[in-house]
Amino acid sequence: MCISPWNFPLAIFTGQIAAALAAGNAVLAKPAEQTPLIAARAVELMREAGLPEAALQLLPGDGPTVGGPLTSDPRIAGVCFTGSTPVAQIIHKALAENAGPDAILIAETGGLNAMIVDSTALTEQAVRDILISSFQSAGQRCSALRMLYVQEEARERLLNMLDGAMDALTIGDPWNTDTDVSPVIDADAQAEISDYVAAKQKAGKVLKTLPAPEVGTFVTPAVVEVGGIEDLEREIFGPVLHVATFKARDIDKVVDAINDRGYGLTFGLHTRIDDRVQQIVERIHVGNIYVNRNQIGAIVGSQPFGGEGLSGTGPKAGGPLYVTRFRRTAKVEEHAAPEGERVALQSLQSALEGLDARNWAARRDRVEVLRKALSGKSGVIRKALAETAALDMTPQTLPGPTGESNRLAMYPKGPVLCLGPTLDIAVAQAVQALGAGSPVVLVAPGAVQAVKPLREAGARSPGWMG
Amino acid sequence: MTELTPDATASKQRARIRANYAAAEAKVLGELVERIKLSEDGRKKVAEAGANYVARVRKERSPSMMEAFLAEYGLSTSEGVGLMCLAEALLRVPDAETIDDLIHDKIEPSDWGAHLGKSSSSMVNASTWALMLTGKVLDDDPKGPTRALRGLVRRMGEPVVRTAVGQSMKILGRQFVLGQTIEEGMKNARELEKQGYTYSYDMLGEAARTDDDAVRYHNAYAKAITAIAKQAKGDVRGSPGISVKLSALHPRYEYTHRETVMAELLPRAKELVRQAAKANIGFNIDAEEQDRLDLSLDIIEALMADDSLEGWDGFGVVVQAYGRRAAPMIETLHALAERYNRKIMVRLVKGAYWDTEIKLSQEMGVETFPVFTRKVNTDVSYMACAQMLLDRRDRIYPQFATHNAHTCAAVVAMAGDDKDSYEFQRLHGMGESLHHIVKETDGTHCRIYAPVGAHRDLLAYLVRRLLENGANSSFVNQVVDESISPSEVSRDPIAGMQQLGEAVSSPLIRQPGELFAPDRKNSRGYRINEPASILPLLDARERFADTTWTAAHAGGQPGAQRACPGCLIAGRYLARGRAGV
Repeated sequence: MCISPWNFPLAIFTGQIAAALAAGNAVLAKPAEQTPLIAARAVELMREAGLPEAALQLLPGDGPTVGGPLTSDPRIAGVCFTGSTPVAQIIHKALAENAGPDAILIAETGGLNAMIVDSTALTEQAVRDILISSFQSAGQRCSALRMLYVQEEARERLLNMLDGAMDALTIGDPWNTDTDVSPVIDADAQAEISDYVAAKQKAGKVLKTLPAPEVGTFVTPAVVEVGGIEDLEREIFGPVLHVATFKARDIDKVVDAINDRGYGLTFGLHTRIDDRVQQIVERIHVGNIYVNRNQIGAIVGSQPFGGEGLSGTGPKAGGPLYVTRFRRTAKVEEHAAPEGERVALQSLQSALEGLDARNWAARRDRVEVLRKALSGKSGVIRKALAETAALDMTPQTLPGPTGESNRLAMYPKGPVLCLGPTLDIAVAQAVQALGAGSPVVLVAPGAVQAVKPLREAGARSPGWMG
Repeated sequence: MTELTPDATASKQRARIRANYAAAEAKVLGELVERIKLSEDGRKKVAEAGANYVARVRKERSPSMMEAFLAEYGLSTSEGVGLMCLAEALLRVPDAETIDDLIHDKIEPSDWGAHLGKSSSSMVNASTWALMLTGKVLDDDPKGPTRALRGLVRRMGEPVVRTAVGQSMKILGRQFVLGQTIEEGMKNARELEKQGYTYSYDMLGEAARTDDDAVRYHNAYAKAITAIAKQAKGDVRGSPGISVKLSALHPRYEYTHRETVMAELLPRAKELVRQAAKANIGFNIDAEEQDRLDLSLDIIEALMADDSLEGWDGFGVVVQAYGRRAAPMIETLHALAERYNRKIMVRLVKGAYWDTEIKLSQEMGVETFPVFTRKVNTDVSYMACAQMLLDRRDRIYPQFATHNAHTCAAVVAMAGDDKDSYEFQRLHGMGESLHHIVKETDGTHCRIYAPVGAHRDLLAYLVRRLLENGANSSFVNQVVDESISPSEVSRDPIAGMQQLGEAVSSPLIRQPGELFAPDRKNSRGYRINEPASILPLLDARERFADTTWTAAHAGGQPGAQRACPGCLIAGRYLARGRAGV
């Protein structure tokens, strides 16, 4: 089941379908209710190209009527969804309740995307990239910049130039090639965004607006002053840019504040200091990081796109792992839950708190540690060891235009709860998580004994439970 | 509302320029070589004369600080790149904390000691020394005799380091910038003017982002013209002139905004041109990115059509030899000069935006590059364009901007005895020795292109110059490298190009469509700001302007949708798209 959004009515619609079909699945495609005709035309062309009707069916309509019943149907093997975070959560729940245990969900959702500009950045370049990132497509891209942080010493010059550069934007019909900012998708969106800007205006927080045409679902592009990302109530899916300043020495705190919001789609950074780029790239938790350029317009094959946390499940669209995610995994085995002591929630929490994710993730000898601890094991554990040893997490350089560098890096997901249910399976799960750099909490009968060799071999981070 | 429709009145010449936008490199070069009238023997003599220039440059003159700097650092060392980044950013950073971080970042990891004492210029050595000192200060694990020194500087503290590096950057800036103001620049120009050189002043700065910027640049140009006018000699060729970037005069100098550009930028340019014409000095329009070329021709034609400029021969245009459209561009300029009965100046350059052009084309996935993919191809194109300009001296006063000895020798040989019918040009701080020798030996004229402005605005200019001249293959680099013989430095590019055979287009530079080869073809893109690329697409779109799209499920009501339902423009709005389900 492929559910695509209206803001990329052709690209995302086609991308989802193509990946699912390439992996051999039959597809039910539900385009956004605002843009069914582009989808219909695309499907018409796919049919002309020879795609059998039995492989792809178009089911236009709204979410409650079409999406709801279908995502709750036990015959659905997986859902590929791009849209809002709350809807993704509803689909997740529906799949868990109705579909098989191996049903997949690939969700690509919203974000509160930030950009940091320090005082070494070239103002002209930063302003150009801010304009593109915030206002192109009227801000109706999930990657669009919402929260700009500018170093206080650079604020005045940057905001003055931004003000003047906004005045040079053309707002109008996208048919015209000189249009920079188009209308938003419909009257509902127009009302929501306009109300938001009006409320901010009332509060005296709007630094800049542009006059918009009166006829049509236009909203006025706006710059809103805030204290930081913590002041953003929600994602505003339109041409609204929030601005805050920071002190040079507080740059890490800004990154932490961005991380604290739990989203993680795109992030932009303008600086000439290479060390700073490296530090921030390591500290920030977002899917797509753009340095010294705009933060929209990811290119398939060069910049695989997708976020983490509340912004999506991965794998990244247009990346090397995307199509394989649409394949069926090994047959699900049923295991009866073994008898054991009940684990109190409190001890689970204290085990979680005791984890040291950062140090474990930084270790280069993870596979050696696991091998040493678990040598002589057989069955699922041995298989997990072999798979872990084969896992390649080295950053890849992807092809792209000359004069830029596109790197795809993999990071551990973070703490993993391994529930078995049998001890061997729980240990095998732990091996895979630990091998990828995630610390684990292991819950299974006999786990206390089982983790001892792991700890002795140096994997100090895993928590355990009896 | 601007509609881009195919320009029905586009002249035949314009059509030829557009046809060459994505023409095959080998085909364009084949046609260009045919235009060069030098005989086999003539070409041999040119190469010899060029080699002779090189030998004399090495023997008689010491390289300028700038040339020595490029030879020592260039772009192939991490120090060179670090230094370029530092020069680019340092002077605009307002806060000490970030300045320190930037200096640490760029200087600490570099091996400055390796460059110490290697350059023949004491200035380069002095700044190396300063950079190395600061590098040592910042280094956490220093060894040997620098320890005492480091302790000393460390005691003096970070403000001293900041000042030292800031000073080195200013020394560097001074090599590129003639003066911080036009008055200062003109004062500094006097020394070489006495030796018979003329100047063209360039105002440093980025393309305007805002209308305020554009107005500020406009005023700066007007003020500069007023100042330069005071030194006009009554003849544009012997007087200083000004070089203007149109992108500085409007925040949206783009083809998509053509109507706005013609309504707002053109009057500003016209005002400046009239002012220059009244003072009888040269007014030159600098060439910028290739996708501004077509639009620049609209402005150029509109400016040439201005009746009030009659009798003034100072209107100047730049042709970039690396562009595949260079030859039809020259023919067009000559035809315009005929049509409006003018004499114009045409500066021939190789082109300074090569990296940008390659990157942009690859990014967009367009059919091919608008520029040549090899330096030797551009050198051949330059010779052919020089020949074309020299053949059109009835209307055109050619200005040959080059720092290459072979190119100078070729121009001298092709131009014949009338030394007043053309001039050479060089950049301030570069090619000094070569042009001195050419001027003394061959009695030619030379104008110096000199940027004027604050050091902090140096960036774009500096980076372009370094990219253009910092590569190992560049003439500036080779002329000071004694290990390459003069005849090797001055080899004939035509022979070099013809030897390439099938590999005329560099296989090292991936065609935009081949970016993901061999896995797959890149998706095809169009340049919205390049009429040759976008007009056919817009034309094809036009027939759908009034199309109503419908779709229906079997038995359902058809839904309908127009191009942009959000616009709700009266008469264009039909129904909200909702396919009948």
